[in-house]
Amino acid sequence: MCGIAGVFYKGPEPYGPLGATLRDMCQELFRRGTDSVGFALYGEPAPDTYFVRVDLGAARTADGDGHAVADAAAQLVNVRDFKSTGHNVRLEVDSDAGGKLADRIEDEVEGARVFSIGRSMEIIKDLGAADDVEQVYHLGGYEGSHGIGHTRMATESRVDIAHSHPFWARPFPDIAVVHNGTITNYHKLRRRLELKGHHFSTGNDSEVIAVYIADRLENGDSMQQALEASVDDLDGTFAYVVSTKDGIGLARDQFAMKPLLFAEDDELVVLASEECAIRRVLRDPQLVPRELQAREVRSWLRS
Amino acid sequence: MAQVVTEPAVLDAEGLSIRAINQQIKQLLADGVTDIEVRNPVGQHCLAVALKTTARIHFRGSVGWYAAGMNDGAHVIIDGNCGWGLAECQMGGRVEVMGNAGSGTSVSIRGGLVFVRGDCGARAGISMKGGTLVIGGSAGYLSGFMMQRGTIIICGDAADGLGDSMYEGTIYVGGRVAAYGADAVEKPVTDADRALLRQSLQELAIDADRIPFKKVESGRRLWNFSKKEPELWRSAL
Amino acid sequence: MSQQDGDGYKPVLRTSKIWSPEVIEDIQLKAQLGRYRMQGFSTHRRVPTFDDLTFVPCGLSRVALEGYRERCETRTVLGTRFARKPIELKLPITISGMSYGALSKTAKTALGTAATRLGISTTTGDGGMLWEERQASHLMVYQVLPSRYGFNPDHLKMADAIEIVIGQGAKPGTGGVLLGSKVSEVIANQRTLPPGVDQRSPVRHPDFIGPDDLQIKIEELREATDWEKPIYVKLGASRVADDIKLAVKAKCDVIVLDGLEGATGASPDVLLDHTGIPTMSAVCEAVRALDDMKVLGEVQLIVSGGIKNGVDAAKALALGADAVSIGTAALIALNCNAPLYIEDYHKLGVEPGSCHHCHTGRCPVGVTTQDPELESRLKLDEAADRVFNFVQSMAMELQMFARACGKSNVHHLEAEDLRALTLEASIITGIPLAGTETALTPDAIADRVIKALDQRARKHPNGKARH
Repeated sequence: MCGIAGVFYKGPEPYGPLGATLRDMCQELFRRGTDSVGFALYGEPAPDTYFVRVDLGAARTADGDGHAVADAAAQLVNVRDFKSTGHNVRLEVDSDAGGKLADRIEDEVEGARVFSIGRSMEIIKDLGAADDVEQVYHLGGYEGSHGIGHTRMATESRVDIAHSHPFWARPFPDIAVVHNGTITNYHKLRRRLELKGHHFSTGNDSEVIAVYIADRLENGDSMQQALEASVDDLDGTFAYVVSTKDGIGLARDQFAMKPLLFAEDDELVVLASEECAIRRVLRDPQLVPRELQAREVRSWLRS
Repeated sequence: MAQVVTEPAVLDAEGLSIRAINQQIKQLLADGVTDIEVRNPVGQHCLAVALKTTARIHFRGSVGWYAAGMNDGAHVIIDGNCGWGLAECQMGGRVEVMGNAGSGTSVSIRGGLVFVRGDCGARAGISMKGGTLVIGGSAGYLSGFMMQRGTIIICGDAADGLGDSMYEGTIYVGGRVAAYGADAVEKPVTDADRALLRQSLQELAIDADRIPFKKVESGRRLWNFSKKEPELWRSAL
Repeated sequence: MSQQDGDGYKPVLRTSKIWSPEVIEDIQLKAQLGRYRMQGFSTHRRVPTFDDLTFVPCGLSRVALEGYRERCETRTVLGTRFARKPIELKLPITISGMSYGALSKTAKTALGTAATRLGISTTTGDGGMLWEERQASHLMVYQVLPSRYGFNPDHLKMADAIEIVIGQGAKPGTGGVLLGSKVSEVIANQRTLPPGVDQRSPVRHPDFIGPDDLQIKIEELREATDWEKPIYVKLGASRVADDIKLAVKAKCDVIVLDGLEGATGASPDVLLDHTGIPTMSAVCEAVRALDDMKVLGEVQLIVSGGIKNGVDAAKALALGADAVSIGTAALIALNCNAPLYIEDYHKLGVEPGSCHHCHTGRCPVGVTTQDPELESRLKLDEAADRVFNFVQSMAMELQMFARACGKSNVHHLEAEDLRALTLEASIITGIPLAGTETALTPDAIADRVIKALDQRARKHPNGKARH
């Protein structure tokens, strides 16, 4: 049970102060989820470049171990740059090695967990509140085109960073999900997806949504179709936001159990579990947020 | 005799905690203030709950969840949206929202009026025990569920499950109904109904006669278990 | 040779364990009814209970306290986490929520009267506050239920604590029921229902759905009552660890945990038997969860569900509860199943001692009925006396066990004062089987194995095992 948020810049400026906006919204949603906070941020893609975010666990600082991660990655791909922040390492590489890069890094570096790989997506998540995370990761400076955020109140699985949202639909680059609610048929869904060859990093129900959507998109569904199918296939309570390199999609369960509102004008779309989070970043009284209805799905995509 | 016009007491909620806002409202009421304007509520939750007063409290902006919850007599106006549970369990009084409302609007109210000019989310008027809920726009999923008494007037459309398992009470719907809930049946609209609608909506600046209201009430087949209606009970029990 | 002839040959009736007479009767009844069968009371099945544990009081290794002479404190404070006015009870025993509607007015008033004399609290139920209960009961806990029947903010403000009911042990995950025969004019009026309906309560609260919403709801209730009153969250023991962690995160003051053995005025019998986990298991899971959340002691735990005497209370406290709550035991003290008006038991098809027909509204002794004639059989003052006496006996038993274990305060009872008598009890509670030293939990066994390997290694420092 949690708070979720999302931002999509429509243009004419396709980029905006994404990090600061999501951080402020998630700080407002702190009450809904005090265990941890997380963001999937989509910045400007560079040609032939993938961004990799690796976490080494709270016990270790990344200095020094940033090298270990870079060396492991270099076994498969070209590492152009890497930087350590706290216990997090950010790499710029030229490929995801056909989906094998994440496994290689985790096999080679003990305790490493790859949070994300994407042409433009970067996932940052940690324990505590958004303002705490700001101190370490400096989200305020991040410009991007769209992104999603989450504050977590752990229900069934553990309170640690690996079980925090957003979940990367590993190994599909650039796909992530944040979810408020509990999927009650996730064991069955997970087994079905595992039979198709997918892998899961955690026992968390929300991760299933990410892999489910990625599977649908891979099999030719449009974002809209994938969202609509999910409303029937997922059982339980959910309001979730999925993000890809093209944009974001939302869905709400058939009984409208978890809250989700969005507000849209010519330049941007903002969505959150509670209006107070939207009002934190959009004070225009003319902009009226609307609640997503039961079974309703929406998406905003570039191109 | 010159009329004395008093200005409302203004409370700026910017930067204040929920507790501080409510305490200041209560202090003003205790000081005998009968007209309060609250600026910059910025979607905060639990504002103006359980107030036993006839004073007027006007929120200039959106509020969050449980606004005017357990209201007992106050006249609360919200120039914006509200979240879930607006005026839940209200005993009496009047709550008006100019924007949209979230889920669970006027849950279990016993008296008074709740008016949302825009749309309501799911479960509007659930378990109502009296009073009147007027929705200028549409109502969401399972509105009027297990309604016991009172009146719901929906000027727009209603989603699935309207009036499911109602005991008593009346729902009027002006627009399309996606699907009726278990044992919610349409009944003929009488002159008395039309008079009630006119009276209720006139003061809210809505012309009742221009809206083709339907009337929905309980079919009373779920009042006592009967094995002769298995389909109905399978969905209800 | 025919099996029917023969001198004095009496065939032995062979009954199937699967298709037992009870199962046959059940199917045939449902073939008439067309729905599930309802009953009152609690489960008929056997589960692991506190009876599977025994105390190991003082001998030579520890010093016992003199009974009746050396002080044994029973004072219990609830709601210290956030409430401005926590509740102080004279005993770690409360009377749990039972509705006016399920119970008669006399029953509720008698419980309140007894509670005041004892210095403990009573709880309203799914129907709202009875004025007579508030008058009689010096400490009253006001329930907020999914139905909100009879909910009144004035009554909320008059209460001493507030209990948000998420579920009850008898039937977690489902809503309440009161059959038409008990929905009298008076009850119907209080609940804003047509008289005589088979009243169903919803399972979910109408204005909050998950623990994230619950947090805001709790804040609303605190704002409504000026942060004075402790807020309890009552759970039916089901996914105990997860639920408790969430209730704590939602910022409650007290958890009330009701086990599988918890009873009800009316429920489908299959729910009573097949939902929830036993109270003893629930206490253990709850204490571990509170410990994980680092709020043990800060968030108090009240447990209920089949608490039948002071020794159950003692064991619950030893396992980590701060108090116990009684429902059925209090009703039995009132006169439930007493051998009086026996013809009326027969009319229900039962005998005193095995009546569970609260749902019919024809309670022969006036406890769970709205019929004035039946209710008149319950005499208020005598009934209050009986409840007072019973809870007094619980208190004396509780103190007796505490003193025997060398404790001057019943809250100092510990799990180490107990031993398990069955395998299940040992694994569930983590308490060693009587006569052994090791609990049968994976951690405890792993510790033992490590210790044994260490010892062996020390005996054979060159690393070679003898075997």
